[in-house]
Amino acid sequence: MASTTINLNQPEFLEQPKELIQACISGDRYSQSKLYHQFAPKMFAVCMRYAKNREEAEEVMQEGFVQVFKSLHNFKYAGSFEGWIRKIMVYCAIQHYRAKPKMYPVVDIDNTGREPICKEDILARMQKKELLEMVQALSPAYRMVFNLYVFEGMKHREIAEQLGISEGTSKSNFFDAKKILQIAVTNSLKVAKTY
Amino acid sequence: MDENLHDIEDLFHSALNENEESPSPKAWDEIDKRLDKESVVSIKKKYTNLKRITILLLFLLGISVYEMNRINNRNSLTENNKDASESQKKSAQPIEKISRESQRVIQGKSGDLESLNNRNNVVRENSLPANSFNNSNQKKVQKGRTPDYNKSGNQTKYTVQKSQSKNTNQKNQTVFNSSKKVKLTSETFLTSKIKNNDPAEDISSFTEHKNKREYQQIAYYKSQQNTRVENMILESKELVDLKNSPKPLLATATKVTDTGTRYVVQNKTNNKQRLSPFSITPFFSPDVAWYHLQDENTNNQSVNAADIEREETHEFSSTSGVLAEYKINKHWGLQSGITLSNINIVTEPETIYAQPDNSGNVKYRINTSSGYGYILPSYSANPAIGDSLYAFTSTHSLRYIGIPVSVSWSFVKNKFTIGAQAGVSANFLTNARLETTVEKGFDNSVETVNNIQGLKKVYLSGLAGLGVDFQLNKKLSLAFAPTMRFALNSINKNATVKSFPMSFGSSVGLKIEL
Repeated sequence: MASTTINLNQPEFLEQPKELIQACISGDRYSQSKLYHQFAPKMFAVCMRYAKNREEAEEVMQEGFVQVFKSLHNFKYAGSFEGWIRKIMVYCAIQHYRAKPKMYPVVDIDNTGREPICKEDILARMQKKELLEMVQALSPAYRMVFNLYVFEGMKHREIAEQLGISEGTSKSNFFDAKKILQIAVTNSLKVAKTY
Repeated sequence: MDENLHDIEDLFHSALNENEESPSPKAWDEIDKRLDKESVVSIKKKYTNLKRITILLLFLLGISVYEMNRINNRNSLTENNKDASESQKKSAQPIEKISRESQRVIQGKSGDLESLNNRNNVVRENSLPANSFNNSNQKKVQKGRTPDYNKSGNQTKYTVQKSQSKNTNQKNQTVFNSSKKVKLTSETFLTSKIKNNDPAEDISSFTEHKNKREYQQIAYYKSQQNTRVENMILESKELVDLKNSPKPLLATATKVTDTGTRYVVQNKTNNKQRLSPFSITPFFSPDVAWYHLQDENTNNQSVNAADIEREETHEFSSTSGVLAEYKINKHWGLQSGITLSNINIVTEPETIYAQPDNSGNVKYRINTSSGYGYILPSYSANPAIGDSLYAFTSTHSLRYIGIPVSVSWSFVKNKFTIGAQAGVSANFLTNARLETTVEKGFDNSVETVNNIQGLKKVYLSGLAGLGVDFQLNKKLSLAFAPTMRFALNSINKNATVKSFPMSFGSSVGLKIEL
């Protein structure tokens, strides 16, 4: 079956979110499709950070959008609609994490051979995709804490509540996650330098 | 650890926070499927709730009907009791005469048959008829035979059959209205009268003191509305001349049959039975249906309302269902129920074009007045945008379940009840199906769309009509009601056009009074 991607720059996709939201609430599938195509790229990027791979990220995103369409009537137009969808995606990612059997992180931190380097240099030398893969390579517990702290701006107390862990564990996981990422970035830069 | 990598979270934040990634096209298909499932589940839940509500309403309706009947019966009993006391008051005067006369008879120990006969006539007139034979113009004496007065101790038996005794003026008749055999001697009866100057009091005292049990039983039988009384025996030392007895005082049909020494008296009440204010009418209405179309501002401007109106023809449509009516008073009533309507529309042959559907897949789009659908024939699996296909006649049909609520006004003229009604109806979409035949080389293939896009799940319609009922009998009437139905809001949204269904139907039904 042939499939085409809808061009989001078409005028029909630039309509006011409120009208679109109302149409989605009434169950109009065409409007739901438009809303999905409007927000899917950003939300998929969010899900990618919380997931191990694309498949898992799609799973989380699908669940997230289904929840979005089911809960649209609860949206009060008070804040950013994108922020509201993003919260649902993060919530689904947390649910997905909590539904899985607990896995204990194996921390293998190699502290050897790091060179001084600045952030701009790193960004110039590394691709975003590479950084994303580093986050995805973290163990689920580290990844969740790192994402919630860095990208959602949550406090360790809130993270602990959301994940059902202690605040100390949250802090410890975050610290370890950072270390692993530092090492990963350093190693990646080393390899880049070699070539 | 390197100082520059200390703020590594900032590095990741700035790199990834505004990142965008494109999910695979299949992701929306999965969401679409899941939403379909959710929708199916919610429709199921909705109809489960609807079923529950319907059962609850029917249950409440049943209870209401039962209660209304009970209240009506009670009111009727109260009214009849009033009648009874009035008639007792009326009969008090002559009964007083009896007492005096009887007293004289007993005191004088008169053996004169004639005078005895006269006295008994009076007794008959004032005691028994006032209670058991209290009836009007339908008194029949069959095989009238004068009892043999010469035989002392002659026994006269009365069998009183009472059907549907709403007429409770028989407070005294209740003395006899027992399934038990109640034996009374006219002497006893007379004596009880003689004791007191007030005959009504005598009768009631007889009822209350001597036959309390029977009275209680009779009260029960009265409430059961079906009392059968048999073999009320009067062992008459004083003889009763039924044939020459005067006409009964009250308005109950009485049938007296003389079978030798036994007189069978049958009472039939003439009281009109009050019917319940509820009635139900199952009906069927063939409809002449049409759409009022309006252009809608959508991106698909290739067709407009005028084009669609020209291309479409409404086929046989109908409405059927059951309506329940509650009569508030003589003229006004409330009506509600459940209706099932279907609309069938045929579209003329046309060329249809491929364009992206809601999932982004390119399919052939068919526009109708109700909504639109996409088809993808198996032999044309990969069309490009703008590809065309010739579609022969397409048919789409919609089914709705309606819950109407209306007010009716009517008046009765002989056997006809003529009235008018107006109200609204909430219509729930239960099925929308589009079927078309497309060309396939030298053959044709039939494509079906079971989900017409753009249709609302509910729309409101108004209804107005006239009605004539012809009464077949007490409970059944033939109902004929030409009714106009018109949509109050459109049945679709984000479709090619906005459609407002209209229909005119002549419903025929059978009205059943409960």
